[in-house]
Amino acid sequence: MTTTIAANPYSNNRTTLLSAARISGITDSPETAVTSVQMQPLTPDCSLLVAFDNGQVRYWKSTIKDKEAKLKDIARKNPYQGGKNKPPKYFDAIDFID
Amino acid sequence: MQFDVDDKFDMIEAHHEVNEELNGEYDREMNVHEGKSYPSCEAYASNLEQYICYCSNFQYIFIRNHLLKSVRRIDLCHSPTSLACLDLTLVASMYSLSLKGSNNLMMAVGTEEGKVIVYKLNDYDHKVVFKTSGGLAFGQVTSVSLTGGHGHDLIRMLAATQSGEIINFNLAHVINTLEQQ
Repeated sequence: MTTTIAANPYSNNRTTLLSAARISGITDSPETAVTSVQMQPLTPDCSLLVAFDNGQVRYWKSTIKDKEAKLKDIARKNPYQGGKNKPPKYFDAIDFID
Repeated sequence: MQFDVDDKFDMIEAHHEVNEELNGEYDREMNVHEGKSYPSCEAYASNLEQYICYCSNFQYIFIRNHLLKSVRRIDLCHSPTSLACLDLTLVASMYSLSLKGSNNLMMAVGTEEGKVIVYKLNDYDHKVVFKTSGGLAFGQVTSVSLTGGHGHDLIRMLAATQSGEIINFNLAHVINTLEQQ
């Protein structure tokens, strides 16, 4: 699920910025309609509850990635970075012969 | 900020699973529901742990605990059209209620038959505490609202009907029922 946030270009009031977000990729196919949507205001990291017309209900939870989680993600994607678990280097024997 | 899917729940699948358990065989109606759309599917997050959902085509209310991944089903014998919840823990201190268990809720369900049924729910049990008589409302109940107010009016319920009426219920006696339980 991806969100795109953009300022309202038709707003005359420049002091208050109205932002809108389009959430795409909620359903597997465009034929499935959303019949109800609810946001949980109680949690600081808010959650989204959506019901679809095919009888499915999905619950999304928002996550704010901190720095440590980001570093872990980078390490997972690139395991050879940072010195540990370096890939083995291969040399040809002919390189050492003058 | 990123949104990740925490829980997925299929009401039609849950409906057939229960039927399979009851009948002991594969439900042949499963094929009937495939590819169909039900515009009256709705879900309400009642608190942080669970949400309540229904589809007007099935005469059940599903209570899904997304932390425990467990499902509970309430048989209505009526088609639900609207739903409202009130967290009893928020009003318990105000009305000196002693509540058992956790996830204590009061849930009002409007039905296609024009009745409103009020349930008291907790983790392991559900009880009908109030039910309107048939013929009180003309047409189906289109919307229900539950509020726990201050002062003399304890808990109020509004029910809107298909014929354009709004009926106001004062559920003072429901509080007494809850205290006795």
